[in-house]
Amino acid sequence: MQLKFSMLIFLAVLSLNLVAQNPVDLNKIHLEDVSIDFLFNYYEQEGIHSPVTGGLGTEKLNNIAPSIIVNIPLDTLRSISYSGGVDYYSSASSDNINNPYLQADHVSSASAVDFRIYSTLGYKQKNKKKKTSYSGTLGMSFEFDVTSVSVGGGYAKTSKDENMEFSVKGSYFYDKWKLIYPVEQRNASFAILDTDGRHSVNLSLVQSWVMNKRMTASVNVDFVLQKGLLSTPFHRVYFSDYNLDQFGNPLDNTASLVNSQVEMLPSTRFKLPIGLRYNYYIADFLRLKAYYRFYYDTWNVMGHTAQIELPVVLTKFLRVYPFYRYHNQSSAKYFAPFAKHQANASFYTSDYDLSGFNSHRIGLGVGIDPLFGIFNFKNKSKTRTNVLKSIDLKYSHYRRSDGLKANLYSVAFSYLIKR
Amino acid sequence: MKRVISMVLFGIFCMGLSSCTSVKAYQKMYLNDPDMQLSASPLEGFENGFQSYREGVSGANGGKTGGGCGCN
Repeated sequence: MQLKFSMLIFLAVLSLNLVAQNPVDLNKIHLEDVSIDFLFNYYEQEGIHSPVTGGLGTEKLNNIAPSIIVNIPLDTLRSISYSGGVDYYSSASSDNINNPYLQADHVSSASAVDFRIYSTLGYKQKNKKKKTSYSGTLGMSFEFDVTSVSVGGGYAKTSKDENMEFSVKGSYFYDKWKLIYPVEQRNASFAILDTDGRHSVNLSLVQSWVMNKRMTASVNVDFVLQKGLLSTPFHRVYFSDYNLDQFGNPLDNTASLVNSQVEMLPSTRFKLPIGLRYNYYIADFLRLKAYYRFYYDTWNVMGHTAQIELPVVLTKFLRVYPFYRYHNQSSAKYFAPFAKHQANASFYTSDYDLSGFNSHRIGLGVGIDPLFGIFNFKNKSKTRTNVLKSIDLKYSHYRRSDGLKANLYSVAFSYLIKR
Repeated sequence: MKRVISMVLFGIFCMGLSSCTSVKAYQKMYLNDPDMQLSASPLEGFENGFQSYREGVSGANGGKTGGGCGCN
């Protein structure tokens, strides 16, 4: 009797478990790891063509730039991301905004040091059935003379065999400038620049391919339209008569207060960069990464950029990656060196970033990336394992044909919170 | 220098044109290597940024194209 009763209870419990339940969404059970990248960059440069002083003078600048990139998967379909950082820079040329006489013994002013803070929030959602994904971003940045907000969105589609992907991204930036003119121009009775806003719209198309088991490639085409204030209010320009007073009499070699002008550039610019990437797995110890970009814009700047990188795997967890980058560009049609502009020009700049030059950047990166991380530890409640996954160190030296030189030191710590 | 770069790029793309086969997921052990990713690494972000400030040319690399900064 007791055995029969026990069997009945057992069968009843078993039949309850066989009743149809709400289907479990397996995509929402397994949580992927949270990744956090801590980056630290130090940049220093020196040059002799400061645009603040009309294309002459020191371009010495130091920038300390910590930043963070966080990616948090909400489930296997959705994720949010955050990237932000600070650029803390000191600039000898910015200091000369308040120096009208280009004196070598000028005492440093408040404009010599400043910082920029920036943040971008992103959201991404995938549809694994259709092999598509959608993304959106919101961003902002603040520095002493520019406040910027941005919004963006993207769509990507992968082929059935996942060997091709096409993506399209659009973004809009609105930059509001504080019109800080060179000190000698601030008492003008008329408006020097008629707008303080800049609109930038960008459409980016990327097509990537898996060519074979060892080779991948992609093409990236951007269409960029900028309207509004495209010059920099505190950049000076000197015309060919800079050393004559208002009566036409020659002055000494010091640039005259009377003859400095504020940089003037057109209010519209269209840019077309086209980039090609190519990666090849040569051998277990060697890869090849190549990049080429063609650029053209409506200010007549045409550029070619080529970069090659050769990651070399020394051990299972240590690799080095030497790289070299060459860039060549033609001058914008509104550029001329110090005191070479004619007084009847409508647009003029002596910013050597818009001049014709070629540049070289060479450097070396080192990556430490063991399979199971450098070290790991559990949180206090022992529910999560935190892993320092990898460390990357990078140095590069940049040199421009007009004399500007720069060094960049970078370190990145990649950290995972396993779930 | 331009001629050398053009020849190297032509050679690289000739290698690429030699085959474009369908690769199954289990055959992607080389392609899954971190150095084979086509997107820019986090460290490249700052490099692209300072280059967009110091050059009149920007874009087509996942970085700045203009706007959002006091840059060209």
